[in-house]
Amino acid sequence: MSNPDTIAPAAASFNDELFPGWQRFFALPSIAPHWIVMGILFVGALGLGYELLPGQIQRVAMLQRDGQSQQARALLEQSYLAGDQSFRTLFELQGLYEQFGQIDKAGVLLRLLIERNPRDANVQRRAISFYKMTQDEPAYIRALQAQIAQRYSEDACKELIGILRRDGQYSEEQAAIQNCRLRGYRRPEDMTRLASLVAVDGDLAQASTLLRMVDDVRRLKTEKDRIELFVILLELDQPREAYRRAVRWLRGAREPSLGLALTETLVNQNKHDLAIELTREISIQGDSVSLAVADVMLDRGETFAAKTYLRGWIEKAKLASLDTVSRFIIACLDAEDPENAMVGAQRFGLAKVPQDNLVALAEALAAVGRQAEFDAVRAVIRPEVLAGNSLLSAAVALQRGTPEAGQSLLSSVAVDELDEWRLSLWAKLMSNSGRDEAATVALRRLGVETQVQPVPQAQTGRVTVEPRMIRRPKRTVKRYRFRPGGALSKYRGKQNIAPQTAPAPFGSPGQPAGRG
Amino acid sequence: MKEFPRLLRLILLFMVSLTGPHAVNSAVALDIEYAGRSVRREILALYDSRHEKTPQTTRIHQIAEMPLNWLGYKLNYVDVNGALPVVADMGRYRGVLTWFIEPMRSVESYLTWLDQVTATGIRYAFLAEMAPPEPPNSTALATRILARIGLTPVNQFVSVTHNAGITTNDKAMAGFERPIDKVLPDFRVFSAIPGKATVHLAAKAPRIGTADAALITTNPAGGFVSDEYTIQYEHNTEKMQWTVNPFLFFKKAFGDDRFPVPDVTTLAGRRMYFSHIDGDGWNNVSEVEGYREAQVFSADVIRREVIEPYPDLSVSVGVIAGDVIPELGGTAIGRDIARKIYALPQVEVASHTYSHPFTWSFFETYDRAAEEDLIEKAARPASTVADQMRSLVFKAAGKTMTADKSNKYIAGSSTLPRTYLKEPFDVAKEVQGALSVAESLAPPGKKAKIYFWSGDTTPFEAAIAATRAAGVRNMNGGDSRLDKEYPSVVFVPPISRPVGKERQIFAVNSNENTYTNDWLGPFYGFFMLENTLNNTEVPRRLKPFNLYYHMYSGEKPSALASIKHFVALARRSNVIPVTAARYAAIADDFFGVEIEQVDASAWTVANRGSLSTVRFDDADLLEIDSGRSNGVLGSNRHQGSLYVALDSAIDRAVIAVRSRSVEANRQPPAVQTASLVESRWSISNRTDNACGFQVLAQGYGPGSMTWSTTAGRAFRISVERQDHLFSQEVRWADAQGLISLAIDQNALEPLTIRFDCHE
Repeated sequence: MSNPDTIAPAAASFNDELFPGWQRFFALPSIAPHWIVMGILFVGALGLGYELLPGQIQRVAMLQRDGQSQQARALLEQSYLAGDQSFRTLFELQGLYEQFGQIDKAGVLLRLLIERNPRDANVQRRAISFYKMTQDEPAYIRALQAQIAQRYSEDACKELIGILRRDGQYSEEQAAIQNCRLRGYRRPEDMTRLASLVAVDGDLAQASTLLRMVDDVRRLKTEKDRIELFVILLELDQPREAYRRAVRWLRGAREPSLGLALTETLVNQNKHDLAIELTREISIQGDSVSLAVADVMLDRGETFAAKTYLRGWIEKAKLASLDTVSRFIIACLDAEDPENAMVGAQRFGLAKVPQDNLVALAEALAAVGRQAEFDAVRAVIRPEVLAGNSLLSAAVALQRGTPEAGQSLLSSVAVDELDEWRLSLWAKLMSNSGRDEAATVALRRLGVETQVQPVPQAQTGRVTVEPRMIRRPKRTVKRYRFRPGGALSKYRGKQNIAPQTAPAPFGSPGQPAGRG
Repeated sequence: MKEFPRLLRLILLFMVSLTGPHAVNSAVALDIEYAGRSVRREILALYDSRHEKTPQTTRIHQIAEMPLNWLGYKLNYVDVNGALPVVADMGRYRGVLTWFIEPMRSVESYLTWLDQVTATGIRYAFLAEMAPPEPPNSTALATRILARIGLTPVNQFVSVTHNAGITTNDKAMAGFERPIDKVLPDFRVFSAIPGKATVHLAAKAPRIGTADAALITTNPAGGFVSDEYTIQYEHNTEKMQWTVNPFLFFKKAFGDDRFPVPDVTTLAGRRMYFSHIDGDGWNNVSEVEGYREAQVFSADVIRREVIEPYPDLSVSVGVIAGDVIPELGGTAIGRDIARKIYALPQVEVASHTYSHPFTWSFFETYDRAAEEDLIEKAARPASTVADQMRSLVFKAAGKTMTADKSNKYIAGSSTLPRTYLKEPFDVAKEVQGALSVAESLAPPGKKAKIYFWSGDTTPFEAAIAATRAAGVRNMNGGDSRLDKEYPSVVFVPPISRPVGKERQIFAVNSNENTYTNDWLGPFYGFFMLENTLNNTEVPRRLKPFNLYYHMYSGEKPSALASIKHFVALARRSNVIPVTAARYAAIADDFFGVEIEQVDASAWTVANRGSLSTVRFDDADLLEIDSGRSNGVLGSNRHQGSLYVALDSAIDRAVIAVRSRSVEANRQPPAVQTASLVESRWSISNRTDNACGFQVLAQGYGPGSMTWSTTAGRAFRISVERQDHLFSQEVRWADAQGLISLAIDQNALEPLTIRFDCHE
């Protein structure tokens, strides 16, 4: 036997010479090339198969699809506890907590998601929904603000502004409207609200800019907003601009209350000419707005012009509304023209005229001695109203030939509180009842330059005094002419909180409407 | 009622009058003859049917009635366009309330009537406008009426307010739920007559003269709130909030003289708890894991998860007859579930209608042909092959399928007027028929006690009358919410809805529908009920604790979780569980209570029916004068109010109060017996003996109660029923004079609890 220690190195040397290294490798029967290829394919397939195995997210999705949400939640919780705080794990687990009503846990995870993914749109949407549903208002406001900061949303802006306004956080509300406006928010209601807020801060120029912007683009819709812009423009000394917009709003439109309100605003600012110009522009002769021309004239002390105007006005007037008749009668009485007032009242129907107006008319007719008309009016004044009016009762008593009763009633009249017509009537009745001196003393005490020419013979009890109205140095009782600005519009424009047909039992707008 | 000699009474009155402003009103100092003076609780609420068609659609009902109810008042609605009450008959009313905004038809005749009424001294409060359109039509009348409540009309209206500013602001009265707006709302100008009215809110604006514009005022003759200072409507979120404090305003406008207010929130010193379930979704297969696999119906899930584990909490279950009558579309399984539920002792049998109307007004003038027409036009899912196969399998297995969606006589949604349409509508069947079906599923002798309105919950008069005729109470509707989403007591409804001569009792809380976007989800929203429960308990207890939901809450895991959360909350809360029917009876009887003042600090309360609690507000310095009272079990305090528990066995209770000095505040009352503080069981039929007393107790779950006596005093307390003694022990009052008892007995049948003196 040869020594193996000497043979082995010799064999190795032989092999090295016979086959280089690579040839020896391929020369082995177990590593033939096709095996190599197969091996590579196999390993590749294994890798691919592994990669194609459903991951945790897919498994969770499949479990949820199969209704195995509890298992899905358990799987995700395990991952979370094992340190997996990936977006998908947190997001899915948070959703499952919501599904199971685990609100506290869902809230914790949502905060984590927001912290780590503040700009993720899905997280923001979920945050808004979750915080709204769970009524976590501070968090809800933050979520809305985050969404608006990243991407303009009209709905988010509207909601945010509304909540801040509802909570009385007016500075924050103002900032939110301005912030949203910078991003393109143009909701008219909130733009006009912003204008009002800045107007309260004293920035009328900015307020007018905002209101004009809305008006130019969409027209200011509500009467209140229009009046506000009108007033602000006047305060900014831009009466022609105010006039131009008013004409635009009102020409052809049947909005008498707005027309009257704007006219009154102009009168209050001593812009009588513009008031008349506006009234003529937006009205037609004989309608309720054109009646305001007489009011403006009377306010300026142009009694005769007003009287003339009213005589012309009544010829074309339709007198359909109680309100207009009432205004007409008052204006005529102020214009010292009870006869014309009587014409209007008769045309409308004396019985339909309000009792207050009838009383005023009767007093004026009595004062100027229009006996027939006085009797006609008195006939439709209700007895209790007549009884409640000492002056008229006195006139009637004197007319009936009961001077004692008349005198008694006259002495109960508080002279200081009488307006001009009533003072005239009182003086006249005093004269008719033979108490001239007392009347003169009282009138002098009131500082009245009496122009009354009392006729001494009052035996018949008929009204015979010179038919003029007493002039007082200043009106202590101003008659009411214009309708208060915007007052009527309050009724028309007001949203009826309780709808006519409630869709739900407690179905006012904004009220919860559940089902039984 | 005990009679006091006149001199003694005067001395007593004088002493009481010295004890502070809260104890009695200033009238006490005068020798006023109170005996037999009826406390007027009726308010005449005028509305204009041209703008608010029915009482239920009025602002007064929807917004103002709840605070008025809370103050103890009941409202009679009268259309201002019809015949107004005869002036001579107005003495029954405490006051007149209006909330007009839109123009009226006959201002002048209305003002003439109002002038006569207010001239008699009847209080008058108006919100918004007095009689729009106001001047110039009736200036003299208007001026005279306004003068009575301390106002003068100025005939101006401030619509642009950027130059205006608040000059007077009584924070207790204004800015109640929302601060006064930075942009002052517009206002009509009234000036307050100096010394004739208390101005709570006033503003100044250029060109309105020297006087401020009064925006909120009260005086002994009534009160006024300027239109935009009543409530604020926020357009973006579509929510209303009170600007004026309605509780305080109405209290002052209608007279803040003290009287015991009938209370519908509290019983035996505790807040009432009741739960009721509408049957909707009874046969829906639950999606809750563990139940879905076995196709368990939602009603059964609720039974297993919510009802059975809580035998200590009453629950009223209203089944829809159609759900348990296979001929109409119901199922036999649903019928079995109903039997199991009604067999439970804590369950009250109720009905949730026969065919489940969605739109009750449709049936007021019912036309079957019109209904058939709607049925034919309604879209419904077609029956698929899979559905048909499933149906065959169920039939083969001898099981009943859930409701067949392709059946044209079963409405899938509220687009049709009711759910079960097969039989023509008949109000008798809808009410009495439904109650009979419910009773047929209950153990013999267990009667249906209450009827829950379905759908839009606006039943017509005849339907409500049918429930009365059937001898049951009725309830539902109202949808009370008071939370961040509905941030105002505006959303807390009054006790009831007037419907002709009938009255619909509102449910106390809203159900899960309004919390879950009409059951579209997310379904966890009902957890937020807790906010309403808290906000209607503090700062004033406005409502009991009511857990109201549908059977379909057993369908969704999160909805089920929310219900379980609230029954657990109820179990650990300091409440007294009652049935829904009992609450409805108490609510109904609120309107009949008659109160008479017998002297400056004592009243009789009669005709109470089921109502057994009266309340005194701002009562920290008041306590019950048990020596002068009769039929009073005891009292408890909550948020400054004194809740007085009355004995239902006494028809005409006498409630006397006296002032409680600061010292007495610290010391327990020196009583020789014991009075009830609070109890989980109803307490009644108290009878006193030489040294001790006994009461009857009845309720759900284990009893717990607290009695007040002298510190250190001992009683031997026995619990028994018909000579069977359950327990007996001696208990000493603690340093506060309180004895707390826990009684682990079933008290569904009344127990007698005897307190015997123990020396």
